[in-house]
Amino acid sequence: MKTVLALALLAGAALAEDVSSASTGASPAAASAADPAPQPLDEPPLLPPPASDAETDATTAVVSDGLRCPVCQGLSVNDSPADGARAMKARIRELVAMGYSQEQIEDYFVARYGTWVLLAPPAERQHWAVYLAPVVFLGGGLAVIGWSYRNRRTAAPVAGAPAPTPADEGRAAAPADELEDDDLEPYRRRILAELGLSAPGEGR
Amino acid sequence: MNWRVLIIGALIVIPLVVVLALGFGRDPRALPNMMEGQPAPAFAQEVMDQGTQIALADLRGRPVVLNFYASWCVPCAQEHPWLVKTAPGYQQRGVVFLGVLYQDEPAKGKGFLRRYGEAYPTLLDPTGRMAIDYGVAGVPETYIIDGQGTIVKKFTGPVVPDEFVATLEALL
Repeated sequence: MKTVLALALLAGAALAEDVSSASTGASPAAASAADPAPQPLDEPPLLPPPASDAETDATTAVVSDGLRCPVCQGLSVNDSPADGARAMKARIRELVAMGYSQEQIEDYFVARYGTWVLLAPPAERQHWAVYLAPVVFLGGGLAVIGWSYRNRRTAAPVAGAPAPTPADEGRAAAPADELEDDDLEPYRRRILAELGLSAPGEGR
Repeated sequence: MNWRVLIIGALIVIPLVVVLALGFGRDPRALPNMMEGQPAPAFAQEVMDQGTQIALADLRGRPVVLNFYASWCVPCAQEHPWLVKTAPGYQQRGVVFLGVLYQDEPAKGKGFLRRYGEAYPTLLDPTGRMAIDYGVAGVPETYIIDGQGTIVKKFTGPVVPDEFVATLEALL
């Protein structure tokens, strides 16, 4: 998990660098400009401010990993190189530095963008199906496996065991012989008749 | 046996059809409109090219139109001439029109106004914090705020002239 996070961070940073170097000078002052005083939310922060910048960065990465970039939509705020996402990340960092909890920050964004902004939808109301579906499918799959396994076990004695003895083999072959002798006989006679030959033992 | 196949098939197919019907019925890129009816987030931003500040708190009692735009945004250029033409009539009746430059440089914003017209001041949002506070996901987005500071209307994308006029008329 940590490696994935680190890779995502690296990729995001590399992309962001590409974009800003591609549009040298064109990149707006967003986030990188001298930031004005941090703007608190309407409620006080629940936590004490992080002890170090590294801690702030780590929490910022965790929070922004869970939020969707409104501009590019398929990426998290942490992974997106878009200016809008970088501004969001700067805002998240600002809030983390003031001691706001992940839940407080998520609430702030949900109030503005809806639960849509959460990459993992909350386990409530209309989202229950999302969380229930895997359990239902897993249960259904196990039921099918169990059902077919039981069928196979009950079917087994008929098909495989007991091991046939030579005498049994003789008996087992018998029906085919009988079919040949009794049921096919009329056809054999007819073929022979059409060919102008007579069946053995039948004079002309 | 056929009944069993039919029931199992229905159990798989019906939920799938329901999910697809719900999913295809809506635009996956459309964001929910969360801000209508909410108190407008406070702001105090520098005015482009003037060095002064405008704060929402100073505008209490007057309807405010906030138009987030950018020079790189094509639909902004399409709606801007209509806003420039419409604004003066309402400004005389006490409505405050403000542009907000979104993720753009002031120099380019000025170029945009020279080209498409200028009828009201533009606020700068260098950190993008004001746009986030308002839940802006892209430009153009336009917010109509009543005199009590409540967002009564949000346009995602270019404003719809009829709705825009009707909303403002209701506030005056």
